Amino acid sequence: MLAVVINADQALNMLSQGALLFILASGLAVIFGLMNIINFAHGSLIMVGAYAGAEVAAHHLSSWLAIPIGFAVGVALGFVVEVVLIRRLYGRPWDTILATIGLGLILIAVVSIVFGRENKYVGTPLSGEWNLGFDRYSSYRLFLVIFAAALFASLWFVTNKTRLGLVARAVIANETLAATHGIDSRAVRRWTFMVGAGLAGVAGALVAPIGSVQPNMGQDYLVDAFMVVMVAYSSVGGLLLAALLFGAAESWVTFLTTPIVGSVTIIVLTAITLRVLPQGFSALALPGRDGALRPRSGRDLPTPPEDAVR
Amino acid sequence: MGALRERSRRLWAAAIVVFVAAAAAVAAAAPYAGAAARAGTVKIGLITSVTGPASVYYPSIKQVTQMAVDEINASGGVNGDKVQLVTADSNTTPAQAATQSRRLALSEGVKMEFVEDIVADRDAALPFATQANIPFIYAWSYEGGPLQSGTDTVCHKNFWATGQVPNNLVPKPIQYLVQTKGWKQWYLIGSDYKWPRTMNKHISVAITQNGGKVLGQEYAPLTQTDFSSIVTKLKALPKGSAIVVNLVGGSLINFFKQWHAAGGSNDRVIAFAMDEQTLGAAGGAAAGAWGAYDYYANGKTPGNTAFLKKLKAKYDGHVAVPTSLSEEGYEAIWLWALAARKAGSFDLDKVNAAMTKVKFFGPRGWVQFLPNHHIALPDILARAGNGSYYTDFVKNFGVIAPADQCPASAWA
Repeated sequence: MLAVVINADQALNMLSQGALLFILASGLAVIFGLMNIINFAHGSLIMVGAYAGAEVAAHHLSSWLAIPIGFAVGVALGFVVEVVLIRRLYGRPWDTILATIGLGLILIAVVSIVFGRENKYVGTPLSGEWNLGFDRYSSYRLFLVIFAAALFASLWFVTNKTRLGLVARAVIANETLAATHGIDSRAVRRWTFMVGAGLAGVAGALVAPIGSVQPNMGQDYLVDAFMVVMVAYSSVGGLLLAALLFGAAESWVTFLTTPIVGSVTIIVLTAITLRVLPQGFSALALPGRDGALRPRSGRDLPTPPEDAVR
Repeated sequence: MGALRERSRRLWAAAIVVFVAAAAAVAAAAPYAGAAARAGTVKIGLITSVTGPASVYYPSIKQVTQMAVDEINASGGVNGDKVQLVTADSNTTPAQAATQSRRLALSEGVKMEFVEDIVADRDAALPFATQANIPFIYAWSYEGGPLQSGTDTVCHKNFWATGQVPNNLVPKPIQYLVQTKGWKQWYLIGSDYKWPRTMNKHISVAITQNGGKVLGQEYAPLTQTDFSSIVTKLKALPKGSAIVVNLVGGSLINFFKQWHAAGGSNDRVIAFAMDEQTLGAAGGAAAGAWGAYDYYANGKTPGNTAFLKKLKAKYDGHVAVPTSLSEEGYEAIWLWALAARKAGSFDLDKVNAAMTKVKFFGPRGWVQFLPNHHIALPDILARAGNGSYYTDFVKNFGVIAPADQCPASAWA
């Protein structure tokens, strides 16, 4: 059936899919960059953001409101989680990972009880197509590309050009030394977790109009986000590159072959990339020019907890 | 040192208190108190997704199954005993379905087990019911038995199926669409597991037998969220091509939303797993899509009218919309109860002998098990409206009996 290898529609599919993957992974990357743990509740936080969109639709408000509400709900939830749970497990990365897995499951259960298990309908703020001259394409998907670009610019700007970013990078580089300079590292960690959760909420609100909203939906987005964060490792630029490349690759492979083959594309590409470039795409960035979320001094894997008496 | 010992002693005491309190809470919360049923009670077991991706149907399943049990008990119970329904959660996970089935069949002592869940969970649960020598009813449509390209795991004498199989669902609607509506060229997509692949196999055969042509087929993982590439491929099909969408669950919703957003038309699109719950969640993106089912929530048949009236009377204000993926539980419980009453016993062979001799008037009209352990069911072709319901009932093909799914020796 396929006479073509690619056409204008498919090229835009690849671009918009890469953009969406960047948005979905951004919250995970922010938390991983600072705290060096994978927040396995990320999928459930995306789901909570999607439910913000469902509530907006249920109250017949403008679908655009889902985006700020998703962010706000994510930030608030991130605050509660960090203070109640994550802070107490500081310095115990394995325990933190377990705790976030449990948190993800709890969120699914709570949402099921409060909102029910049925699929919820969420409308799209932008329907129809935009005429780009060479092609007509879904306006909402094009909006996602614009949003991803704006998100990347904001993250890069905050990390590199603001005091908040400087403080965060100081804490990442050497927390003890940063503390001696009067930086409240606990506050930095708390803010980082809140922003990461807020970005997950926004991602959920953005993906809801083109997906299905039910308590388990977040899990389907977790693996691909995890993969690109692993590859990006330490940089916002690396995350954008990984998301665009891998998202586009998966979309193209699906187009050329079948969705089953396409679904393993990102995992295979991640394995190959990390074999060739152990520091992921951050190794490609020149020092000082890229917005680093982590120092590029080698791969710091979480160390197992010591058997220390506390 | 003394202070440390004192502190550790207090910690131990606290830990023991917490543990005992938790154990007591768990025991108190457990609705069942062990193996034997109370005197005068007979237990039946339901395995379904209370949690997990397939749990979207549970609100309705819970209502219709409880209603069946209450009606049976109000009319005298079964063989002098009151029926008690024990529901177990599979979390849409075969391993958990197996654990729950072992518990229900071998330690709870249920006299009948039925499953409203995905086929993987059914196959995990069935062996324990077989081991316990109790009837096992599968209350969802499925891919059929080995004689019809389906699964041979179901060919046990205690297995009964209340749902459609491809054999009594697919041939008539496809013949109508190819010959009468002129859908000559077809493309088939589906989720990557047994039911969609078997359905598409039957559909391919029906298409070519009626003079149509299958252009190709492809399958997506159940977790697929992005259908943009597939949508682009489908839009490149020759004009007038028909599309079969045998995706299920969330991916079905995702597909229709993305297909609709890309300007795809539903005029020649047909799905076979789009129940009212899924249709409503697509928010009008699937309006105009075709479907063929044995049950519609808004069907105006005498059986469904009576059924909906009873549901409203019992759960007025919060009726969960029944669909083809929930209402069969109601019929399954009733058919078993009638058979057990007729047999005057819960013994498997006696109940089995009675199962084909009783009939029940339910939401799908008169249902009665055939000697091949399946049921002759209605087959109605319809088109979806703008909301949660099918509004254009195009053709009713009547009640169709399925061919034998398993060799006759399986039922002996």
